[in-house]
Amino acid sequence: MLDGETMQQELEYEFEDEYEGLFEDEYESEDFMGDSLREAGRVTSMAGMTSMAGEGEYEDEYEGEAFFKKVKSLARRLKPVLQKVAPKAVQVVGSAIGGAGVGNTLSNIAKQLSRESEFEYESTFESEFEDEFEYESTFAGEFEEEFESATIAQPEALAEALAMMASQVQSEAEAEAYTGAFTARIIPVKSLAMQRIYPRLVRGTAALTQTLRKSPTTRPLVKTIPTIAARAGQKLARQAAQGKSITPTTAARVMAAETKKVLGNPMASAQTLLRSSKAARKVTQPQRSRL
Amino acid sequence: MFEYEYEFETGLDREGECEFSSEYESDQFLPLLAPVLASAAPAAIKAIGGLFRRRRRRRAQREFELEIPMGEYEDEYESEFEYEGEYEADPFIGSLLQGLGGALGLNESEFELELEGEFEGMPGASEYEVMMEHLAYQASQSESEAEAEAFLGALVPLAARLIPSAAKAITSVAPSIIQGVARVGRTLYRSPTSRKLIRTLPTVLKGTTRTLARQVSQGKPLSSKTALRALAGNVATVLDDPKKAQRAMRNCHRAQHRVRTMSQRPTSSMPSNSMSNRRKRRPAMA
Repeated sequence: MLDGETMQQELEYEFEDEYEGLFEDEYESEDFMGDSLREAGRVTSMAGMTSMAGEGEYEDEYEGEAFFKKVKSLARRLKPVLQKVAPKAVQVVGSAIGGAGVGNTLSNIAKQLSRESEFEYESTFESEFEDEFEYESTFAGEFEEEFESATIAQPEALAEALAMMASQVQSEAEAEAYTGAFTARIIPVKSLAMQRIYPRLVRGTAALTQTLRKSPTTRPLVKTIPTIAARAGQKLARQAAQGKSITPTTAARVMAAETKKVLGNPMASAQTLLRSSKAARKVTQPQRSRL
Repeated sequence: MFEYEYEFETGLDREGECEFSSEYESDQFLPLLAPVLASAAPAAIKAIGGLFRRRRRRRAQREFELEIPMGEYEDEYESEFEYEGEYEADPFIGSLLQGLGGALGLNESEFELELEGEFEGMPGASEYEVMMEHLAYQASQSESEAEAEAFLGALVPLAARLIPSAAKAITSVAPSIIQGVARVGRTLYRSPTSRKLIRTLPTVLKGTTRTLARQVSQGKPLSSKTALRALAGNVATVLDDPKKAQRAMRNCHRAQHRVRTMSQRPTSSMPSNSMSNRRKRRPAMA
């Protein structure tokens, strides 16, 4: 009988092995994940909160056609990575919040869904190449609609900046401290129901950070966690406001579902990464505090 | 059904913790706490001081264009600097270290904590304060250092919200405070004897927030340096005084009981303690 932590460690090792193999086979000739992801990750150096080159690259084109091309290009590169990491991430989040049993169940569902959605994604991409313009306009409409929708939670810029620091620092413990901090910025704590579940949500995001930081290739994906946490926090807070019970199992399911929505969808991940980098720049640019 | 499910599944605190609840009330606890504090307090302050040294080294590296991966050699450098000019990095840290042991050379009013009063009994504590104490308790019980760090990192944004008038300014130096708290937490976590002292960190952070809020109200700009100094000063104030440390740990323990009691009640979406009520009772520091 394994305890939760041992199971999580085993999962992480398993993921690491699998992932290392993937990296060697598929990305042997590529440094990191290619230029697109580097663009997304190229924002600020953590130590001095100093902005680096490439600032403002997306400022004007954020909502334009060029931005969608960047999202698409990044999504294409992210796809094979996400196929491997998403089910693991769902399992880790589920286990950290709801216990190992909940994590395993959620992971199985995630794997099943990922097989189904993979086909959909492939067909979407095929049609995209057939009629790119048509696809872009359809996608642009959906994309803008999602962004304009007030019901979808977006984390604040400071949380994005802290997540960026968590993805860049060398020390695992320091990364976890930043993770705890951005989670606390995001998750509402006013209701008793949320207070009960709060430490488990912190544990969930911490476990997710740990998993994504395991490989340099997945490390930039840490920047997607504030979005996952914000959406999960919003859903749980809404349920709490309706007087519904928030059990650890409920919280695990909601958080795992949001993890799946972001990491299980290359377009959503790419869009989140680019938006996160832009938001983080807003915070880090003016602040140049030095000792 | 859900209530029982929650009770069954909740594992936020371990069975048997309550047997220690009288520990914090007893006078016999102080003599046991004092030697632990005597070694933990300087270690915690040095951990914050390490951040000053690290940044100085980074600046020097930039000047000479050296590219040494610091993470790899960090511990080595730490031990080296432990003995060579450890007061050079920041004179304030040096004076704190020299003043430990009851002869603290600080202006008491600057770092004096407001531990007395309503929070002792928890009824007027805001949800942020209760959650800070609860998270610190979880950190002290964590099975891994990384998990403990996550809980401690979460304390900083909650502390910043305690004084809304200064929240923006304090948030601007949040990364430095997070780094400082993480280092103090790591130092305390590594020894099983000092691990329980992690429960004093919410008190330390609340004091730090008040110190920084006072500076903001006086029109002084906040920087990483002032934030780390305020943190180190408050660490010294709490950990150099067994009575204050005991009180801080007692607050943490009570908050834990309060959250546990809440978990055993049916779910309610009602806000627990509104900040507005809290503010009415206690005037803002600013």
